[in-house]
Amino acid sequence: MESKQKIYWLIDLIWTKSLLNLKSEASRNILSYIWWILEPFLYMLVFYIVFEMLLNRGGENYTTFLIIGLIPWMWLMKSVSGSSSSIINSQALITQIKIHPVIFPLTIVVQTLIKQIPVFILLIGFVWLQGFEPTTSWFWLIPITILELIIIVIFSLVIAALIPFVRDFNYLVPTGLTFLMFMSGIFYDYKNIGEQWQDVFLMNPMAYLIKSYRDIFFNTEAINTYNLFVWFLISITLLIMTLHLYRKLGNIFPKLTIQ
Amino acid sequence: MQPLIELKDVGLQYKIKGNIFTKNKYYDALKNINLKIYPGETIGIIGKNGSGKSSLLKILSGVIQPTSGEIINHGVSASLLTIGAGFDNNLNGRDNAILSGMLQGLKSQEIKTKLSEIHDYSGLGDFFFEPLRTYSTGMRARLGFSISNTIEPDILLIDEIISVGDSDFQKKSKKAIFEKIANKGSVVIVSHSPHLLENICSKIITIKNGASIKKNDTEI
Repeated sequence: MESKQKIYWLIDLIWTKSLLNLKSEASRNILSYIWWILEPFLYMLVFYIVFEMLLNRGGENYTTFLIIGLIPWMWLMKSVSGSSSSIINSQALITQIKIHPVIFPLTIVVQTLIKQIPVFILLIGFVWLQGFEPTTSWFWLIPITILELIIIVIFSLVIAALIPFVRDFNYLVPTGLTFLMFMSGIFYDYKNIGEQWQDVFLMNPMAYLIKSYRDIFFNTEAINTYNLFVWFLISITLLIMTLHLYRKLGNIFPKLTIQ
Repeated sequence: MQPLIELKDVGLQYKIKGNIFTKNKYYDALKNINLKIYPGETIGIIGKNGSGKSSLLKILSGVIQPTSGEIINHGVSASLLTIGAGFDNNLNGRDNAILSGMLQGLKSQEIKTKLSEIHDYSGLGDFFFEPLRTYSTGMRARLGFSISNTIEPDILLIDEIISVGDSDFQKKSKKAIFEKIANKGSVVIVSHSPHLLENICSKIITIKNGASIKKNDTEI
């Protein structure tokens, strides 16, 4: 009973802190909440200019193809890079108050999720406007998005926990994310790589997710329910292991951050 | 009587430096500390700067785990009286009260029912609804103290009796702390001035270089 109440309080705290952080962030800018849309738009514009205009890589529907890859990617990238130093940055707080460090990366994940909602709605509207009518297969977006959320939580929590142990990892986060970006088939179709590599390539969760988003939006290939089930099984197992690790290690983070 | 918290041969060691180019260097902040806190006790801890007083409070509050020995907590909450924990400069006083109160262990419903009390106590008036960055140092401290004052742990840990704000508020906050000490259960106060502690504490412990050297049991 006691621990149930504690979990409820943690969720309450994470939710409240996320909303207040978003409010704080928006309050300092002239354009306030408009940045939630403007910033992803500008980011996508950069890739559009390089690939479609300069390199003329295009082909039919290339912009739509690119955007379907970029938006889910940005969601992961922002969550992970935001959470990575969240525990060490909360040093002043966790050495004063007994508070579980898991709240810091999770707050970033929730904050990024909230900002992602309008962007996702715009994505759906954009794809529709490009002439891809919604079909019943679009309902598959729901499990795929949930799967991405679970994967984001795992990545964010693991990296946030590693950095207090070895600060050096902080330098690897941007490079690691860039590597992952190029390995996830955002700018190209995984079918263009050698056939012998395709299965290995799709073992990268981001590559699998982006492929699935495109299959759903373009209605090219039905989602393989067995594959999806295996992905859920693996990621939920890893999530439980990560949370268990936090329960075990939670107490040692305050000391790690000050030495 | 069963103690609320027991420390058995507690030691705390920090790594000061060390990487692939320099040898690891450690520092003992606390050595072999034995302490029992009973209900209703007011314990004073005296020591110079760097003697390990604050480290001891961190061990008692459970923020930091000892590197040797053990701490046995018989199901009580112990927390440090902190001022302005988790404050965000861009949020107004009200939002900061919610945030800071929740970080110190309150549920969102609990802190919301205490908001008007905090508002009144702080004496901030309309500034309560303005961003924290517009506050003076004294105003920040008033808000911080008003929030912490509503937190009621089983064992209150105090790192120096702080006097915050202008002289009126200083009197008010000091009085509030002394009331807590008088009314409520157990308090541990750290200070470098023995005079203050001798009047209010039932037990005084002196810490020197991380080890307790003397115990004056005036009671028990």
